[in-house]
Amino acid sequence: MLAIKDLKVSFHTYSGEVQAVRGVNLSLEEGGTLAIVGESGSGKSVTAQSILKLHDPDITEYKGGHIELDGQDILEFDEKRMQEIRGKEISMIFQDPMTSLNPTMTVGNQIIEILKRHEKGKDNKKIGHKEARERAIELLKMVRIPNADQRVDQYPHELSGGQRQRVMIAMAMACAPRILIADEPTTALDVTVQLQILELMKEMQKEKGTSIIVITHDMGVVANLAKTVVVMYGGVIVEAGTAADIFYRREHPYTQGLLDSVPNEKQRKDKKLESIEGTPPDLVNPPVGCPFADRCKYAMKICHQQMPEETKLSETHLCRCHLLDPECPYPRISLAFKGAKKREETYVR
Amino acid sequence: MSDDVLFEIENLSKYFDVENKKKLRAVDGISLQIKRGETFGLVGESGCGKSTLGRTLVRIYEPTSGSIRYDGKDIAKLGRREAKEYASKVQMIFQDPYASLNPRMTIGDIIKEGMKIHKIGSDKDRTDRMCELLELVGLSKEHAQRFPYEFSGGQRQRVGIARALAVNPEFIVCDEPVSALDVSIQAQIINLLRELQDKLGLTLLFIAHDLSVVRYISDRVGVMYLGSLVEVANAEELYLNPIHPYTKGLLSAIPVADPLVENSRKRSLLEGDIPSPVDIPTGCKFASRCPYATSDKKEGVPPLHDFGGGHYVACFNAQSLINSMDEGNF
Repeated sequence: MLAIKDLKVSFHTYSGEVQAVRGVNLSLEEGGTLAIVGESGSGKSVTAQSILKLHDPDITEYKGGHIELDGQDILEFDEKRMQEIRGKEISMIFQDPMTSLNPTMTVGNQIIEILKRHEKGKDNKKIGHKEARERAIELLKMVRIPNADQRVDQYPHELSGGQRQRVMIAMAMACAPRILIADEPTTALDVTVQLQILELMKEMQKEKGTSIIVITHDMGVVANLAKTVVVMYGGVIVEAGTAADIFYRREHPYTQGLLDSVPNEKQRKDKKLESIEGTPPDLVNPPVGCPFADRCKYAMKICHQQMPEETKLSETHLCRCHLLDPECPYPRISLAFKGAKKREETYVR
Repeated sequence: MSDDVLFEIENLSKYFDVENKKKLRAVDGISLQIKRGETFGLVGESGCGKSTLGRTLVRIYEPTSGSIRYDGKDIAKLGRREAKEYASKVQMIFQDPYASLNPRMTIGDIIKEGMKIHKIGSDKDRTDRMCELLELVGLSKEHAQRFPYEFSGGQRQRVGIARALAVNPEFIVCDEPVSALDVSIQAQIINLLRELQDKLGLTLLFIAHDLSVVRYISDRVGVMYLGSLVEVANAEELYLNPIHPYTKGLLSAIPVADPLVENSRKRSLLEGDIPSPVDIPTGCKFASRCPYATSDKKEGVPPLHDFGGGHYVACFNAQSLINSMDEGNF
């Protein structure tokens, strides 16, 4: 349904041209869930925001590629056409519900505003205020805000963080969009509330058949939600595949590092955490070779000189790493992961 | 880890005035001991008072009531000189590495400021010590002349740690020291904190909402809810055998980076939101969200009770919960 082909995005800043996204390919199926994983500066948010063209047009340059929605290139659309798509076809939930809701408007009016912009009333004419308000209350009930008929007249500051994020979801779902982009939807929330929000998103998806793109750095959230996963680093995709590919057959040292740096149940207390030393690359002068080479413990000479090509490991699994070269002296990373085979066999989604 | 007590906190409360002459009870009658050399982890949802407790210990806030004894001495009754000494012994590392460093000061000056205030050494000594500290936290002395904006989040957090260490503290409150950082950087900072603790024999109060990090770094863990401690135990014990229904709910909400586990495990989902700390319900504070709450209203907050091996739980039904756990009904 949605396909991003060789997308390149740059920002022109005082310190030079930041090549935030350097050739990204991905696709989203109808009703699917895609997770884009990576750390700050990996280009994950820039990629997702490009789908709605939310970047400041004065400094942003789409240097190449296409974003195709049903075969039409979004990058060619003008602002007027984009406004029809935003909120109606594709909507977005942001990380911080406090700063992304309007503090001077009641939550009800914020939902009503969207409905009036995109939706028609029962009589197929312009939607009236009363009907829109009723729909807003219904939406708040749908995301399980208690006392929705009173909450509808409250301001964002009167709600808790979790409730605000529910309001954001209600707003995003108001026009039953085909694609929901969730940019770190639970990062600002407590784990208990995070779980409630994740369950809610899955439920919405089941009910309405919405496709979801979730952007996160939390592999736990990925494990909970995603069917397919894309791992980004330094503006490129380093590994992509199904959840099973990424969790049980991972080949890229960065994917491995991401999973290792979170202490899990088996983490021995007397042992150090596996950390990825160093810091992400500067995208004003991106490295010629693999962007991860400077931090990679397996880095070889070629890694610093040449960007590795994508290796197709299976129908679904792609990895960009020189370690997969047949002449590479190191054993594959996936071989070191004991019990992978067994987990994979029992894994059914 | 020796058993001698560094902090003896007794019935500590910190209330804030809010509108309509109401009180926000951020910390509400906490009693706790922190032992010398241990890492005490403090977890709970936002608004539970864990940061306020940490800040009260370093005297950013004065307690409303209750006492804090440090090394046997009541810190409210310290003389001026002793109070200053206490201020150097007890340091803090903050959550936000962007907001907690003065943007107009060089990294070197930031680290030296505390030593200057506490009149440690000559200017030359302080500069030497500053260079030493920079190396210790994994930066280099060339960084001393630079300003905070030139550093990444992880590097700034290292500066924050060096600043805290500069005045030779015994105790450091780490208030969400890694939650603003990327996961790959988090592990670096956690390793650094542990290494420094071993090297310098520090006692740490580690406040975080990331439960898996707290489990890894802490010797003992306390769980807070609405200003009270509901459960305290050794880290492994708490994670393997939680008793309080709130702890159970909190732990089962931890996301696991494994789709197989994540999609098959049974969770005790906590419904609803944390009540406002301004209008705290009477009786057990967790009752409104507790699946095991009984209808008979008991007076007062349930006290922390030792259920063996230093596993403290504050729940009226704790004993019956333990019994049904033993029978395997969970």
